Amino acid sequence: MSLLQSHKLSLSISGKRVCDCLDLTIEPGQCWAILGRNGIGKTTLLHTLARLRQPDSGEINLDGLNIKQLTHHRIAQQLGVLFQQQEDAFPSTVLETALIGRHPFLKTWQWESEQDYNIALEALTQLQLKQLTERQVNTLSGGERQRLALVTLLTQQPRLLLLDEPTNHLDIHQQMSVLKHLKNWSHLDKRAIVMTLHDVNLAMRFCTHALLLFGHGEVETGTMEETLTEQNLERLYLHPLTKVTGEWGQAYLPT
Amino acid sequence: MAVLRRKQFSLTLIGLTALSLISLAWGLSQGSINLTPAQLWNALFNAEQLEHRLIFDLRLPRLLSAFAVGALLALAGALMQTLLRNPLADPYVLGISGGAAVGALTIMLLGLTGFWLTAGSFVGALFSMLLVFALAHGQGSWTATRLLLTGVIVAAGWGALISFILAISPDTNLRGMLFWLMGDFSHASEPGTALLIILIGLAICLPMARNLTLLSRGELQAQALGVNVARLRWTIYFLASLLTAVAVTQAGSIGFVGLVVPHIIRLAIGNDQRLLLPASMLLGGTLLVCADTLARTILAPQQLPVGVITAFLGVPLFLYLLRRSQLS
Repeated sequence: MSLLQSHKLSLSISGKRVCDCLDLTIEPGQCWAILGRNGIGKTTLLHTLARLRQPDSGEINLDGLNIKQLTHHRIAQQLGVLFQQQEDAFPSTVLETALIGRHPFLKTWQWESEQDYNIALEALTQLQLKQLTERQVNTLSGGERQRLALVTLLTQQPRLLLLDEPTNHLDIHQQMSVLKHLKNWSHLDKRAIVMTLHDVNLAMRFCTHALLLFGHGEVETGTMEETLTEQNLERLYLHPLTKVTGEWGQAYLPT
Repeated sequence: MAVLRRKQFSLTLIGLTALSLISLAWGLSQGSINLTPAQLWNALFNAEQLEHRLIFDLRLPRLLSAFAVGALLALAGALMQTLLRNPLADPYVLGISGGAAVGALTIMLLGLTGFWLTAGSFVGALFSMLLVFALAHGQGSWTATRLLLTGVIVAAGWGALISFILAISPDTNLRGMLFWLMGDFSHASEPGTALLIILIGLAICLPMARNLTLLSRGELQAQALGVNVARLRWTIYFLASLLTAVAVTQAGSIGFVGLVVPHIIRLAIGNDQRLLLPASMLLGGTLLVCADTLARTILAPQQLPVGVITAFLGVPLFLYLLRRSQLS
């Protein structure tokens, strides 16, 4: 069964249409990139898929169930969201921040168990933050904070990840390492990822499918080969691009 | 690790409970007649002693009122800071105390006292709470910033009304009014209601504590991790407002407890609300018991408004904490 499915989804922000009657099906094992210009509605679409926002019309199903009929609690057991920014108004340690990922699985009076701690520590190790466990989050660098937000998601262990610009603040090495990690993660155990990205070349390298938001409600979805054509991308970014091919693969450069 | 953490939590709460009891004992022994620990012990358990009446009729009700109000304010402050995700929020930031003050001063201006004073300030507080809620709610959107700004503006309006009432009041009323505005326990002799409310408040808050920790990290983040944010926000707005209304009705607007106490706890043990909420209550109560005891005794036989003492303690303490957090 598909993990996430939208049926005739229509969406707009302040009068601008993001998508019209969008039918989207995300299967286990897939990794989707949402691409589009600034302000075109990538984040809005992502938030709507996570039920953090109401669509104008249409339906979204998570694992076959209408998302409207699920509580936020139930949704959080299946679906994790990475936001563009994290609010750290109050002090908190790295480990505490990772542990909030266990919240959807704890009952009202239940405390985090030793096992929950182990899940969090394992995730911290995977994204190389283990040595910062006791640090205060507001002392972290932008890249470390971004990886910590991903650690929280890995601690949550959902089946579907919706990531808003996961490569934000990351250097080239960390971009590659984080995306590789996420790709491996999505291959395990019937999982899938949807992420917004600004880097077409990273999308080509790590994603299996793309959703292009052109604006005015025009959308194109499909596999990478189908969607990421030179023509589509120039129309997407309103900027001329050159395709470069080598034995390592291909890339687009802005001209 | 999980066990260690729960142990640390219980130790903190046990320590703070002990501190509260010590402060109460100290408060009970200070006053027009100072008691040694041995005398206090005798007086507590020997009904025939003269001091027994002194303690149970005069000092204990007042101290328990102080404790309850301190606990209410600290809890309300912690909730407001989470609701607005603003470290500078306190129980009065949304204008509750302003509304209560206008209610109370109007009653004083009319020459009424006693029950009417309590009723007037409580009605004023509730009115302000509903007014801010209705104004901030507007056309659906209910962001923390909008709520904060609405509250601050309404509070400014109440401030102007307070000045107006003070300006037109006859001189004989002014002293009572100023004492009310600065916070004062000399008329607080029935701690029962406030103590009951604090228990109810805690019973409502504690099951939501983990949700509140998440809310302090942002509404979207909390929602994405399974919190019903709309309901939580609504609950803590009304709960914090009611706690504040009860506190203000009991003893006027005592400043700084609600602002400073949650920060002291956060600096010591972090923002986990399962601990922050009960710990703030205990520390808030303790702080106000000490402040009120000082207010009674420093210039005895003259009594100072307790709000003056909390401000004297609170201002330097807060500045110190602010500086320390900048340095780290």
